[in-house]
Amino acid sequence: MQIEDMDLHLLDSLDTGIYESSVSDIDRMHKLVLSKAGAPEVRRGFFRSTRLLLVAAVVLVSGLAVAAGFLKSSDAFRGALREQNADGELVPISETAPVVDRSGLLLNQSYVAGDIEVSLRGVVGDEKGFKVLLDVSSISGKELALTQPDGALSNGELSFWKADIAFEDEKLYAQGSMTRGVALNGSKGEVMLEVEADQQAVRGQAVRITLRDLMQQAERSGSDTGVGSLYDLVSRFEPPTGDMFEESGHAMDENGNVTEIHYRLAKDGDEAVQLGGALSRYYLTNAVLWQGNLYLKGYASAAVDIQRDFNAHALRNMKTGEVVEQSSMSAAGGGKHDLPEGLLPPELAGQALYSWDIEFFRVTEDMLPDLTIIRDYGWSRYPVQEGEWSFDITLDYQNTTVTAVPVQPILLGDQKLAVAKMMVSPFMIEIIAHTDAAGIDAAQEFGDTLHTDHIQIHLKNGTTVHERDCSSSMTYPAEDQPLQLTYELNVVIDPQLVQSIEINGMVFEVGK
Amino acid sequence: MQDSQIIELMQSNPSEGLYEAINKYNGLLVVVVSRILRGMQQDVEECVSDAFLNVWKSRDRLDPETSTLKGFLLCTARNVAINRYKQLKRHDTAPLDETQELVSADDVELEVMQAEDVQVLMQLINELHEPDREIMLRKHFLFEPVKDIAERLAMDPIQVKNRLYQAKKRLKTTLVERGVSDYAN
Repeated sequence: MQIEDMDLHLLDSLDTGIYESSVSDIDRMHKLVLSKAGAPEVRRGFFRSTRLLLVAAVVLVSGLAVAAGFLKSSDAFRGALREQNADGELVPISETAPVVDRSGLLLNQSYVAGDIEVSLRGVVGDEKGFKVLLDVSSISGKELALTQPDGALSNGELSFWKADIAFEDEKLYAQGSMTRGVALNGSKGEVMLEVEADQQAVRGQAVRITLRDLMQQAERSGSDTGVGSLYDLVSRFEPPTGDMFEESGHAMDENGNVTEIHYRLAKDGDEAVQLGGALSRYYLTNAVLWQGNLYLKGYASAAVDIQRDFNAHALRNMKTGEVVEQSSMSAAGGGKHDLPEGLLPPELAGQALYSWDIEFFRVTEDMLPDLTIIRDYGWSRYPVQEGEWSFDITLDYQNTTVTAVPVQPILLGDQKLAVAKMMVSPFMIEIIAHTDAAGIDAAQEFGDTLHTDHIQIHLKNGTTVHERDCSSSMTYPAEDQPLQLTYELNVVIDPQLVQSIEINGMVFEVGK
Repeated sequence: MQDSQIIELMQSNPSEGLYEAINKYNGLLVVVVSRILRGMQQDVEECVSDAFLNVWKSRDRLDPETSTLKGFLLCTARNVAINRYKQLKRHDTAPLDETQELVSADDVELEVMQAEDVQVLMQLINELHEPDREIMLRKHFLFEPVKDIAERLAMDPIQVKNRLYQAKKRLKTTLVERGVSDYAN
């Protein structure tokens, strides 16, 4: 059953009127959706006004390496862009004929920020997108995969917090970006940025790529924030009696029971408490105990990217070690706040600030003396080097995409659909198939279910690249329109060397 | 503009109709998807646009008299976002926050959130009494935090949590009984 056939009227009963969007957001979303849909009226409009909309969607890349015409990795990017020699050893790309050399754009631009040098090694791409291959290294020789001061252990995965894509032609629009990579030995690592342009060709365009904050992924182990006992930080602010009660911030129910208890910071009067460890830029100003929930509240400089530090937190019983309850941090928008003098450090005076709060469930007043705040267990990203790395390049890579018309139909459930065209790019397989009414239903069923497929890419030299758990995406075909099924590869391949592609046992001959 | 008018407009003038749908529901979808994909703004925009794209492509199958645009968009956005979350989780890049807690704490919840079970979930929720019905809808379709639900319904958050827990237990039992999925294992 399709969603449009379901009775979802129950959701109409929900009052959702508070959720609104700005006009600019609405306009942008409208353009984005129409460009994805390839709406003819949009194309005509764009051509008339000579506007050009580029939607660049950047997707995650799990790894790559080189072996006989393909870049593969079984362990993120370890060994990326190095080719195996006859003895199976990884050798530098300069000694081989790598994919980036045959089908890509070799650049070797470098940019230094802080202790980190980022080298843009090259670009591979097709008409719809491109991947940027980056080397990172520490100038001082510092280990990129670090153990954090608060005890978090890196798993060696590197990424940039943000990667902005700005085309010289201001009419081109890039939505955002994500990167992923791995620390190699010692002070060197590799990162790849992937940009997918849904609608417009980007080959030949000049673009500025700005990378911000090199991060590493690390596992936290209940690390301390250094605040100690909550009871040492905050003390109960006794409510005054009579008319002054409401001004105290406390609240009571109709039976006269206090339901909301405000605490003030005990340390140095009302001065904010600076959290430790990776949260050192956050200041705790007050606490509220409300009906069994504890809210810790505070401020951080608006210059702090609070989303980057967005991590789970927990309270831990310092006597038993038990983690009492988990929650997460939320933040309100940055702006000027009318705060008491001396509450925050002088360097924050006059700055735009975020207000933040952390909510903890099931906390009672008698628990406070034994509780402290910790960062929760799990994975998070920590900065290796904050800063920006910027590159101006022209996307003059060769498009080596191979197009074939396999005789084998594609199977969607029980439906066999004739393949009109199959395109193999360095990082994507796209299948265009003929549909009829049954095919549309099969496609809808297929599209409503999360699929991962096993793909084997057979190369002309006899080797095979195995892609397990490859995710597919599909356009929902309208009547008489072809179906488009896309597989994002986790490897980079040289399409010219592909003989055939096997998807869940279906073999499609590609090579001539 | 009423949903039925927007659907009619989408069928007669797709671009204008789409604009009105976005005008009315973009804020809602962004909030809901953001609650699933916390801190991943570019993924949020992608998922929300996919939801609108889906309704745009299905516009001719919607009936202005009987279809609910809000329900269609909410369910589509929710499914797309959950699938994206699972995809990111496989790559260990999904942020660790209360959404993950929500998703990973109880795989049964995740299972019933899948597209093929939305209708069953909706039927089961419809069988609940108020305020449990609204609590479940807000929690599982709008992903509202317990605190917000409590404030909106003027309830104690603990009460909300307890009602959620009891309702989910009942749902799980019913789902297993009806053989919707192999939850017994």
